[in-house]
Amino acid sequence: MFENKESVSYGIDSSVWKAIEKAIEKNSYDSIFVLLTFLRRVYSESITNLSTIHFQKYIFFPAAIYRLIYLHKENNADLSKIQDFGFREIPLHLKEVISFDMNFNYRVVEDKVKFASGMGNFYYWAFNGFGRLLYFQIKFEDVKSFRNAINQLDQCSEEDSVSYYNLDTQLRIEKSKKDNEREIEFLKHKINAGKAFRDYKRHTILGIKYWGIYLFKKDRIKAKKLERFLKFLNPQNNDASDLLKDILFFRSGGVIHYMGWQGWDYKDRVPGKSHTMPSPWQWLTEGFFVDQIRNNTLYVNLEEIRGQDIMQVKTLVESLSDCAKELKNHFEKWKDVLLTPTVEDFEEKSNKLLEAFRVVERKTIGFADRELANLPLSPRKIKEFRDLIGKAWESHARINLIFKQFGNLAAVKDPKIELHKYGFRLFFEKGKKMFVDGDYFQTIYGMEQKGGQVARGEDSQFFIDISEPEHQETSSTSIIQLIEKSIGQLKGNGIDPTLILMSPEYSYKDEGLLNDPRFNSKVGIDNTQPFFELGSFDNIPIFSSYSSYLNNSILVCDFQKAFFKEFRQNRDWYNNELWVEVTKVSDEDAKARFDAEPEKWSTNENGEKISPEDALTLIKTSVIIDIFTIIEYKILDTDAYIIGKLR
Amino acid sequence: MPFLNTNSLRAQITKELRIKHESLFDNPYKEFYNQCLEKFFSKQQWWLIGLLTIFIFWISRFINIDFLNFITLKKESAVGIVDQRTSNVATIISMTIAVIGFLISNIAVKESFAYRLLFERSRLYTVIYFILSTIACLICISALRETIKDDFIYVRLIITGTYCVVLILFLIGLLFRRIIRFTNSKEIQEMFHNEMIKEAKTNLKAILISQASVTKITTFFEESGLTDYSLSAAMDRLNPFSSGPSEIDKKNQLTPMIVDDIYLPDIDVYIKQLTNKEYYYRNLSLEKSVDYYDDFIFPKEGANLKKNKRKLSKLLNLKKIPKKHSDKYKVRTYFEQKLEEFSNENKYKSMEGVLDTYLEVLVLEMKNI
Repeated sequence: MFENKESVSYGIDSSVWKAIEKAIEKNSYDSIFVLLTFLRRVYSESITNLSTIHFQKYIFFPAAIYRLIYLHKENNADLSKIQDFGFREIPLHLKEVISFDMNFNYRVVEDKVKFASGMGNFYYWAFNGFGRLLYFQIKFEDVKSFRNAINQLDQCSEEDSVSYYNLDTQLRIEKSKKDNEREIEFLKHKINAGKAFRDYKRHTILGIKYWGIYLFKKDRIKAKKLERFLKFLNPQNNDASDLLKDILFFRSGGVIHYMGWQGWDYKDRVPGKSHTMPSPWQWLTEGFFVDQIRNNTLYVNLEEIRGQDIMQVKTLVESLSDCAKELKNHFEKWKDVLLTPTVEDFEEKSNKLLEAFRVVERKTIGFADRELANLPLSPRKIKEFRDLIGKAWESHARINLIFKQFGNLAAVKDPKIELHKYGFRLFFEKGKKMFVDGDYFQTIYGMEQKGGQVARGEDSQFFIDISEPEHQETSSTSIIQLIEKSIGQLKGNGIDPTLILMSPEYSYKDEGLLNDPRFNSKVGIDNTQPFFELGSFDNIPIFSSYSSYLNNSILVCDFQKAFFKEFRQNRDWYNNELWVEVTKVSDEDAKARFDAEPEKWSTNENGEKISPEDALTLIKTSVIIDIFTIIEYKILDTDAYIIGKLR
Repeated sequence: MPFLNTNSLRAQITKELRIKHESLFDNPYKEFYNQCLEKFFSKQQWWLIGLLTIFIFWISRFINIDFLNFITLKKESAVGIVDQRTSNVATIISMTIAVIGFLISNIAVKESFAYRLLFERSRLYTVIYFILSTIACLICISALRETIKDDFIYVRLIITGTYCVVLILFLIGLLFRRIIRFTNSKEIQEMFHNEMIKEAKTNLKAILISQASVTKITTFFEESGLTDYSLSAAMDRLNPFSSGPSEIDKKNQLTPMIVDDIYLPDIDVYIKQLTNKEYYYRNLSLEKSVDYYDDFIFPKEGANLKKNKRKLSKLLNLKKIPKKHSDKYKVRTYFEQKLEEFSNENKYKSMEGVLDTYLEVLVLEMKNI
């Protein structure tokens, strides 16, 4: 653990630990007693002062003392007195810290509310310390001490564990009264602390149980020995209704540093050699599966599962299927632990379990959809989306950039003047998850392409608009000749071309153009020019566009003389130009869509029939996206431009 | 007296911490008084005691306190007395040293730390310095018997010497009383305990002051529009493609010093005088050892001018790094050794004493961090 060297207590912990080592080495019962008393006083003072800075460090001392005594015992038979004392007292101390020190302090502290709010943290560290002790005991296969420790753990109680419902009732009564916010706050914290106590206690037991199973998998413990440990961790210790919730929690990201499990290892490693520690995520899942096959305790309480956990069910089913395959492949090794005499029995149990989970998966997907359908859209996420689309549009809308470059454009403020709307309205199925806050948020990649799509459409519209009226046209078989002819024709009409527009591929593919001395390429050379300026031909700038209309055509023109652009502006749009709006599907919209395509919406993604109500819910997990620009291209002079066609 | 300087960041933070951590701080005047006393009684102050003694002898001719004027002496008698007084004091000091030697050899805990504490707590150094200074003065007075023509002045010097001898007797009494306490092991343990708590409190105060100063200084720099000279900024500056010259490399290495105090209003004035360029600031905090005290604000492009460096170094109050850094934790180190020793010898009763002290230190930290 990191510790600040400048802390006033720096070094005290190692000094105390050295004293413990000496006391064990010297077989000094009295010294150990004095040191354990010191530890108890540290715990008690930490709780009274609501400070975990020392508690979270010293709470691991009992487990470390146990380990040290055990290791010394192997070389020194005279340690029996200290061993008996240590093995008996250590779990007792931990139990007393949890059951007495914490509960007693409720009565003596001045600020009950503050105290109750901090209790959860102490419970976490205390059970973490207990878990560490059990980890060593199972590692040393010390069944006797393990039984004693589990007994003490079972006896750990929080003050109001039996009266949880009383607290709840008390809270309701207090809420009905006036001017007792502090009491209400206290009761709320106390209820939370009680919940934390029960969760941590249960997780400590489950953790050690699943770890024992993992040790068996790694051939670190024999089946019979494992059975002896597991029988102390009997099912009545756990509330079956919490099992699903627990396994989903164990598999979530937050469990990486939970209960110190990341540091549990099944063998002593050689220092200096790299190795991978067992992943808690993996052994907890495997342990869970084996435990379920042994006990069939699963009871799915869907109502208590929320958000991210629901998403985890799908991956859990996959992991459990993998576990089932592996156990089946090594059935001979596992059959005693699984309590299934034949592979058929095992398959029956495992299929039943997996099927139960698949039901959960299906149910939870519906549940998740229901929650998602009711969530409001997040303005922040919509803004992020608008910026994403806007940036893509900005870089692709090249005709717009050329107008800006030449300055022949103007915003139209008069609402009576009608302009064209370019873009699209998209019904984005299951797209709502991209626009909500919280657990259901999910990024959908590639959406920025929609911005590029609108931009290309806008460019294409420009070419459609300029192709419609009577205009000059020419054709040739090579790009150089086409440019020369177009320029010549315009110059013949007394027009000095200011722009050549062509597809970007000519700038690197057409040898004729590349080798012509009049062509001056700027690609990758002059970064001060707009990125879509390919260079110049005879000092006339060449710009590019991705529009498909330029695939076999070029445009040569006096841009300012030939064209003008009018556009609508709005402060709420991206860059005041691009209208991006995301709206949720209303009940009426959903119904209209369902009525239009009942067949499509009555089947879910697994091909199963769903009710009309569920179908409406599914529709409401979609959103409507509008992306538009409102513009009008005006042709000022048809003689000022020429379109060249490549034959 | 930092609490008198309104620009002092240390004074400002200490004032705030006094309210928040009441148990950790004494009354500011009492604290100042104790600091002065501690300095006065330290073993390095031999010269001060010497000067003070000479001053007492010198001032005697101007002092006219009625109830001290009951001694009347003629110069002839005074000349006879001075040698007597000198030999009296010499006898007293030899006896005193012998007795002290005896007492010290019977001290309950015979350890260097206990001896050090004994010398500090008993004020032995100060008393001995005073006795020696008095002897020196009396010898000089004796030698000047023919030189000092003014009878009144000479008699006054002899009378002052007599009073000093009486005072020495009183001080020796006090000294014995203090040293005798060291023959009782329980009293010594209690003293050790108090020393440890005192040390922990001093260090904890320094830590709290340092922590509070980090927040204040960073906020101040950020609000002044300066940019943190972070690792990425440093990397950027060292980038050969970046436009600014890398002046950091050229910086002359200064001897690291500890920041004792910072004057933020003065720094504010300095920042306001700067041109429109953008500036970086480097992390500063009280009690931090730094070697950039003349360069803690510098432009993003280029480097500080020499005159600016001079100005900057004046905005901080610096102190030398103590030679032994572990001196801050000398009592704790002693306790660590003792616990190891007690556990080695199975002295569990003695271990209890050390652990009690440890617990008090931990509680002190729990309550204040």
